[in-house]
Amino acid sequence: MVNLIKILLLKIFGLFPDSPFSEYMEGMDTTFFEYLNWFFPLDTILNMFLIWVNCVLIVLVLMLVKKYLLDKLLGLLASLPLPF
Amino acid sequence: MKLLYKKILPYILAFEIFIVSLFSCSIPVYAADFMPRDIVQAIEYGIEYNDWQPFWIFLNESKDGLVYLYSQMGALVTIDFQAWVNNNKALESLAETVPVPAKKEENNIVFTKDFMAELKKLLDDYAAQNQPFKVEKTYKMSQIPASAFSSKEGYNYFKSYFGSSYVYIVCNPQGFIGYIGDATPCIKEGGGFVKSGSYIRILDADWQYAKFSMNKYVLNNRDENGDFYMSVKENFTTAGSLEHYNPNKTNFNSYPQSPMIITPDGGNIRVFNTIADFINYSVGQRKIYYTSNYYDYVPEDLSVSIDDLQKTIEDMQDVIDKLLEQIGNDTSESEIEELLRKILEALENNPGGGGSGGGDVNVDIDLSSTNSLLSKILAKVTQIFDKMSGGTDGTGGGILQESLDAVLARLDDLNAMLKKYLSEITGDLDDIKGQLANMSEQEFEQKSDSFLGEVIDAFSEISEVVKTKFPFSIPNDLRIFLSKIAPAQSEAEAVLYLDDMSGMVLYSGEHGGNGTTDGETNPPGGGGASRPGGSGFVSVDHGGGGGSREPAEMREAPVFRLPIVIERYGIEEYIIIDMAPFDPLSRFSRSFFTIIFMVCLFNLTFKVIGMWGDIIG
Repeated sequence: MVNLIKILLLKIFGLFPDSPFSEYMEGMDTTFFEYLNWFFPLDTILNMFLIWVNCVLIVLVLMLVKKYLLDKLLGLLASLPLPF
Repeated sequence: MKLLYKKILPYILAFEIFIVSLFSCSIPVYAADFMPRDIVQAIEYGIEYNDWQPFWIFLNESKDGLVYLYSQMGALVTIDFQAWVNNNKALESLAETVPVPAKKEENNIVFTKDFMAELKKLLDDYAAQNQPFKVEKTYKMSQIPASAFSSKEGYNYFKSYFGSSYVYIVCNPQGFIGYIGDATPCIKEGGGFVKSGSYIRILDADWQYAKFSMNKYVLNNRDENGDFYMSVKENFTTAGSLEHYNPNKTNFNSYPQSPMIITPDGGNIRVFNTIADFINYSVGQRKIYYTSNYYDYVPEDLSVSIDDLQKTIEDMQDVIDKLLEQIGNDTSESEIEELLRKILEALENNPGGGGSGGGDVNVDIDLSSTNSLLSKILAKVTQIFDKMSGGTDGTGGGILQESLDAVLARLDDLNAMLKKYLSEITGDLDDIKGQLANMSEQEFEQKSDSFLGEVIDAFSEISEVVKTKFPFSIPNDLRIFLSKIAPAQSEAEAVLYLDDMSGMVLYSGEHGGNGTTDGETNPPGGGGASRPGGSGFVSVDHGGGGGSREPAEMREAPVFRLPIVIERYGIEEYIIIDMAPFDPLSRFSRSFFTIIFMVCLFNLTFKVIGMWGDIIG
């Protein structure tokens, strides 16, 4: 069962294009970023930003779930026969 | 833990992006005309930069904004007013006269007193140019004092004359000879009031001067004994015009001849500017609807919470449109006021959400008290309820009861279905529990390890694929970028080589040793700048000799090594600029920028979540 799910997901994800950034990232010269990082907290900022994006996405997903459930509930209520 | 989190984070993000992508495919985009968040931003911008242009532009382009603000004064304006504002660039003149139109106090928006006063003036100007009539007050019957009449007999006759009619006219109440008449039939049949110089003329339905009969009462008759008595002659004369009518008179002795227009509730009447205006008037032409509060409105700061504003604005136009549909040509000003009161109540009391919307608005409006329209609405609602419940009319045959039965039946089905599923689930759980109970600890550990191992293997393979696929790869790309610009301690061995042409070398404490020689490139670990033992900022290195340094920190202070090599004279000097003494400054700078970034993120959070809320409705 787990293998089936794995194969299915691998097929689905295989349809997506490869990352366009990684190949350029390898040869990138980041010398001056290291200088910059000595007084400007690039590492902290990026870390914090990643965590922030994570948190915001969680909030957004929860909002979507809430909307989905509310819509379902309203749809269910709307399907009930009305008195007039 | 941090490293673990860093490794897990890309996968969590990838999963979330996947879920969000799936959901976002079918999300309808809803754009409201007046978004309180937008006006909040415009206000914040105005306060910060003393530039209120975005605020005025926003108000100019938004229909609901002006409608809302005028509703708080007690007036409702139509779209025509908005068009007039745009065409005449009326708000541009306001921008010059009102330097600060609004403030923000915690979760409230406060529209300033000056702004509200100028808005009212704007509407008055518009009404003077476009409204075919002015709304005049009448005297409320119960508020007419006895002192308005020259004698008690006259006052008593006045009180006895009044019945259930709507508009009464009293002329010359301070004299010994007075006139009193009932103009209601004339008005109800389609007549109206028209301004004509210092007169208010009453027209009948044929657009002619109305001639309604008036009784004459005479107070100074004397009998044979010389005592005064009052006589009344009914239908003595007709009247069609009233001179010097002053609805705001408080001293009834000041103009004894001036007439009074009296209504039971002190409601307002429409007084048309010209006969042509009266003839041409129809409901469709009307641009503004007033409540009595508008005339009594004294401009003051208007404070409204952002949440309440949002709720109120959402369905304001729908509520207004539905209720305004009920206004017809024969609807009196009092009935219109009652209607407006209902509109404002709907906006104040509707709890928001769902189809009808509305919300709580902190509006302190005491509107006039005509009950006729409410009675009609009550009767209609009662009729509907009767029909639903199979009540007095009986035509509905208990529709409500049938519907409730249907709902209950559906709920019963639902309940049975849930019970069935729950029993199946609990049965499965019991099986699992039984199997676990029969299993030894070793077997359980073995099986769980095997299962978890299988799952982890499967998903680690998936995660390896996912992190190379766009857009799920973005978090991983970010992580790689992060590791490049800010290597962890163990990776801090990156020695920066720049050839002598650049003249700069990044110090690495791990590689103290011989200095570079001209024309050669130092291999990693072979040389490079060394941090001198002292704490000086700039020092001169006489070639070669490296130094030692303290244990490496997370972020190395840069050391620039500038070579001065003149072979002819055997000079090989290096100016070393070591930034290590500035480490405390670096730490401060990093903390400072981190705090600034955090504040930016706080702001961004509200914007992103707000924007998302708008998108998903």
